[in-house]
Amino acid sequence: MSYIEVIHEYKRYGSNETEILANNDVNFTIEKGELAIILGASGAGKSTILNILGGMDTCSEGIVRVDGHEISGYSSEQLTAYRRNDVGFVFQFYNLITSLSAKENVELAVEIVKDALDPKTVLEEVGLGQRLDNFPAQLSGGEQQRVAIARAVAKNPKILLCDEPTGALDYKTGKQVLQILQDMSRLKQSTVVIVTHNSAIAPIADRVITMHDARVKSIERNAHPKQIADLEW
Amino acid sequence: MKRKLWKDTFSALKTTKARFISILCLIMLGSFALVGLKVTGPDMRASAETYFENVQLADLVVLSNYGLNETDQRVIESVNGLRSVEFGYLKDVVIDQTQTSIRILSVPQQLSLGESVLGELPKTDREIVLDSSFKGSYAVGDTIAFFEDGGLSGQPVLKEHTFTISGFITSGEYLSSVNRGKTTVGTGDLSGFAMVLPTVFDSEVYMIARLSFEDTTGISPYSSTYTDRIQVHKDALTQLIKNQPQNHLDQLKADYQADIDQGRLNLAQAIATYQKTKASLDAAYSALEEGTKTIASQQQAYDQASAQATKQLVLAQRELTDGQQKLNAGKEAFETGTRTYSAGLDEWNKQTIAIASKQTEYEIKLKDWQAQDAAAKQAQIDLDQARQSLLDQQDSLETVKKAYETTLQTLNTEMQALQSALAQPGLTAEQQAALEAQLTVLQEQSPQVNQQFQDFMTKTYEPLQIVLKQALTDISGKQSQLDQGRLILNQAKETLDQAKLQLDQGRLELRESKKSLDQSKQTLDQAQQQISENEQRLKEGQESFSQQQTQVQGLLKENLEKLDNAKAELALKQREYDQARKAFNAQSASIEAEFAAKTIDLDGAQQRVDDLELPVYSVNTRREAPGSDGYKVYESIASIVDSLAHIFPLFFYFVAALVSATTMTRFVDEERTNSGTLKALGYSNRDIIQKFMVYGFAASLLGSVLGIFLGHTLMPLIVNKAYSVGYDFAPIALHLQLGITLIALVLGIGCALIPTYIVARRELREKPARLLQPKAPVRGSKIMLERIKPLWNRLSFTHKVVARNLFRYKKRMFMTVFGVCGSVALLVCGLGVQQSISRIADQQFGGIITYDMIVARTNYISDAQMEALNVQLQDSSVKQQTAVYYEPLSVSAGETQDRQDITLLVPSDNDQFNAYITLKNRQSQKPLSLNTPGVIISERLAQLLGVSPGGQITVQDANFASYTLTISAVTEMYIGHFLVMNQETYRTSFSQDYATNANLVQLNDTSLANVKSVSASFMKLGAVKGVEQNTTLINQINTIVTSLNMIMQVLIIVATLLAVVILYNLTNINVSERIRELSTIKVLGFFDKEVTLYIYRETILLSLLGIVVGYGFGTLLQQYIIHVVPPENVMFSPGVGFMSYLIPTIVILTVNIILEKVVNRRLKRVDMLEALKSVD
Repeated sequence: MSYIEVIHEYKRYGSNETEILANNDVNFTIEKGELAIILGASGAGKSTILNILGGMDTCSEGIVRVDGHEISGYSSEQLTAYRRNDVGFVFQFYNLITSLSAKENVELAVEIVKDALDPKTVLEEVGLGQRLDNFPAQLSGGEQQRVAIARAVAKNPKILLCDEPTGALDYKTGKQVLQILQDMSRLKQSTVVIVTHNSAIAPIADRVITMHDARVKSIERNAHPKQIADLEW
Repeated sequence: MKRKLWKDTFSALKTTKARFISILCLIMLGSFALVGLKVTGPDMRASAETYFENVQLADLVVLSNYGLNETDQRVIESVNGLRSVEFGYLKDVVIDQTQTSIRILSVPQQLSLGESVLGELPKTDREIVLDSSFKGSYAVGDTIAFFEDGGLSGQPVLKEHTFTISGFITSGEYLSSVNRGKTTVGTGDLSGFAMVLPTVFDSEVYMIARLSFEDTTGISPYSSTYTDRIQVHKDALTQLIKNQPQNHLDQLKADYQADIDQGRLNLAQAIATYQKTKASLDAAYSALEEGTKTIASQQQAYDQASAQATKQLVLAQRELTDGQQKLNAGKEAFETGTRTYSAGLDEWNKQTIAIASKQTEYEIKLKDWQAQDAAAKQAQIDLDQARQSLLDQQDSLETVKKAYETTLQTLNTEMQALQSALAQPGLTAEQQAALEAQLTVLQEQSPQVNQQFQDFMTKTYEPLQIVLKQALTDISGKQSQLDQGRLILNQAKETLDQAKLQLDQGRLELRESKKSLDQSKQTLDQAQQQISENEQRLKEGQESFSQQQTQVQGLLKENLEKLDNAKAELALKQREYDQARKAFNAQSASIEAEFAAKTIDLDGAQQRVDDLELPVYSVNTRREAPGSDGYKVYESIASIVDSLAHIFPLFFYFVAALVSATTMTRFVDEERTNSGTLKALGYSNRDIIQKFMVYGFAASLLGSVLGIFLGHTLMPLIVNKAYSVGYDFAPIALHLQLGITLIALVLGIGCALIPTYIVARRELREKPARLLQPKAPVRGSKIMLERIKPLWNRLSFTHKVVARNLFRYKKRMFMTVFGVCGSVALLVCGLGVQQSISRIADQQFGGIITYDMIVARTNYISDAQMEALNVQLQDSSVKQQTAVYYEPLSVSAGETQDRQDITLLVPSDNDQFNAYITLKNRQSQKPLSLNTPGVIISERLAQLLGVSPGGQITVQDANFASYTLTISAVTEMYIGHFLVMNQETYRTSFSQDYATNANLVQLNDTSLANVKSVSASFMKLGAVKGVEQNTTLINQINTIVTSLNMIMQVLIIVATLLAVVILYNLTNINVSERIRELSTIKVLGFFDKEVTLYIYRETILLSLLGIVVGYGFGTLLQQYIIHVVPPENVMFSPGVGFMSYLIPTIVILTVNIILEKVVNRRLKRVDMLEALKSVD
């Protein structure tokens, strides 16, 4: 049994006549400790998948299973608990709390989790050891994204979900961020799922799921993912 | 403004209804509080002023316990600046069979008129108008009876005691039905008043003078000008009447003395009258006896008369019967007579024939006799002639003889006369000689004459005498022969005559018989006539008898009736007498007793007159007059509202302005992109600002107008409703107050527009391009707290987050704190004041004043009265009592320099006194000792006078004598002013011996009803001058408390609403401003509750902070109000109760909790994905 299983999953928006299918019979699996990238153009339904995986949304039909738990059947309460304990999110626009310092942003997430990591350590790991007390406004985009990652990571989640984590970043910082994410998977055996439209970063993944027009177009297993440093885009 | 922009504004309005409404509400609450509080006081005053104007309420009232006599009146009238003065009567009575005391006033014509609320003013002496508070218990047309105690003179003042109710009135002098003042009848508390015509009063003095002044006309009685001017007049008048007490007393004593003397005279007269009545009764008794006798005799007379009349009638009847019989007999006799007459007539005819023959025979014989007779007669004549001549000769002889004898006798007589003359002595010689000569002549004559006589006798007389006698003897023989012949003749004649006689007799007999026949005939005729006459007469007799009978019977009947009437009259008289006597006997004891009582009365009156004290005059302003408690309380309520108006609206507006500023700022922020687009399209800043301004203006104008409207109506009406329980004059008149309306409009609109303008202006200063970009997020920064490492490090993460957020949104923080603080302050203050006021009655009468009444004794008490008082004091209803010296004193103090009444108490037993009044320091709660010299004064008095222990206080007694006393301590006291001192201090300060004159009484049953009834039974006693109960004060306080409660309830509601609006608004802004942040933490796995709490923790903290700050402000406010607001004889309890903190906290927390639910629901629905997608 795979760590993440998505079986015949559908997501519909709107009512009968104006029904839009965001996900149309999506099937895939991701193994534990893998770095998976869901690739697709805008509107391909990749973010919907991510939202459903992250417990932020529910599918209209089908089964979504994470670590053996069928989250597709969860109530909103259960979903919140799932988000809280099992999921770490990294957003395109970082979504840091501007009034809190870097460390506090991490602590905010840590606060609600049982066996969380030490925020300071995590921040040091993402290279922000010197900027603990800086506020988001005082940090660069990359640094902010690293804080966001630290926040997600510090929760010690089962899966780390990243929505266009490099979307708002320049090439260099983007790479830094990807490095961290890859390290999370490689070193900490975290299951990392990255959603992106940028196929250039696909090679670093253990598994690349390509979405097109609400369906899974292909699933590629990459036995030897590229090093981030080798990546060019 | 462009049409599209209007459309835009309206759509903005539609989509942000909640925001629009919250601005509207804020402004509405603010203007409601401001306008409401600002308008109510003036409305109340204006209503009262109008009312006072209508009833021409007097400015000053002068009262005297002995009334106002003519001198008093002149003095009062002489005061300067007088506009009008009116004197009136009044008398306190109780409604018959009850303890309900009523002051009956004469209907004033000029000042302090009664205003009719139902029915009409009295027109006759039998009509009365009652105070409108009796409207429930009586109706127009009902009869009401009063019991009146005699006044000073013991005489009733009212002529009538039963009246027909002609209507109901209100009076400016007795505004409040809750507390009408004190009285000396009933329970001691005046229950109401009534008005009757002045003619109902029978009093030589007026009891009250009402004055109004020129310079106070048209001036608001609530203005200081009025107060100042009245004070001047009061002082002037007080000065004027300073000497009146002594004057009046002197005059009164003289008058009463005259009355008593008159009374004694009257009594003497009455006794005399009584005696006279007694005598007249006795007289009536004898008159009755007499009458009885008279009647008896009259009865007897009547009986006799009746018997007699009956007898007479019987007789008359018998007579009539007899007459009838006689008549019948007469008729019979007549028949017989008639027959006899016929037989007689036949006999007579036969005899007549026989007589005629005998006549003829007789006539022959007679002729024969007549011849013989004539011859005899001639012979006789011759003889007679011869005898006559002889006799003549004899006579001549005798005559000569007689002449001689006479001459002789004459000679003798003359001689005798001469001799006797000679014998007389004293004769002259000549005389003697003459006389002797005469005698000698006579003596010579006498023997010659005597010789001549002797010769005649012997020679002539004797021879002739013998011759004559012979001749006479011859004649006698011849006479005898003649007489013989005569005799024979006479015999013949006799025979003839006898025949003749027989004839005549026969004829006579015939004639006789004829006559008797005729007579019989006549008799018969007569008899016949008589019979018919008798018949007639009998008939008449019968008629007359029946007439007589009727007459007699009528007469008798009449007499009997008269007699009966007389008897009846007598009986009546007797009854009358009996009644009179009975009545007299029945009454005599009581009358005599009355006389005795009267005598005692008069003695008592004399005693009273001798004991009369100086009268007490008082010049009272409207705030001091009896019954003026209502006037003061009314003003208190108005000024309470006023003082609330000074503070409360400020908070409201401040908070409203801040909150609407925040709200509008948020609105402008939200519209940023829109504004940028518009600007980019070429709209001018002015156009865009106008959009916000229109929005703000619409909300604030609507809010202001609503608030102003409600403030002008709802608030005064609510307050009016609150106090109307005790006030029944005209309902509050609502006045549109332009000034405050404008202020409210300006403030309200300003609150919304100014911040809007500033915010919009600032925003629009940016270039359109910048505007199109989202506003830069607020930067995080270090906060002050962070620098305090030890503290900061100790804070939990959540708290740090809260702290940071708090400081990040400073404006909102202040807003929340202020909003909550404002609400809480209002609530704390409102509840605090409410409690302060409502608690004082409990504190005062629960812990401080524990006596239920002061029973004041009169100055002169008889042993019996004292005995009665002692019995009542030992009554089972009385728990305990102690004797004290009690005196009402006064001092002028306070803002209006009103006279403050002070109760002076000097205990007879210092140790026991604490059981009746607890003397203690309020702050320390330590008991105060009476054993130290100096006086203990009540706290409010000390406050008013600004004095403290060691200071001095100058008080006045009823006769304006001043005493300066040193204060030893200030005791906790909430209602009324008190002075307490020990006997030693009293003696030295007042230079008077100590004697008790009152009793403090504590009852077993302290319910209002029982206190009243016990009080009434004390009042009935002669020894009791008055009873002072605490109930009136409690009532008075209750009225204020009720009014204040209502106002406070409104304010509490308003404050709560304010809290709701503020918190809702701020929370809303908070949520919408931080929606991204909230989405983030939601995504991070915060449960809904945690999300809510994440943001709400701040609100709670700020609320708590606001509450705490509110406590402070509220307490300050409360302290301010309870110092400013209370009437001068009342101190509000300064402590703030636990509840006045707890309730606001609960209110705010409840609002928070409810809002939290609302926020929670809203956050649940937040689409975290949507929020995360957008870039901000």
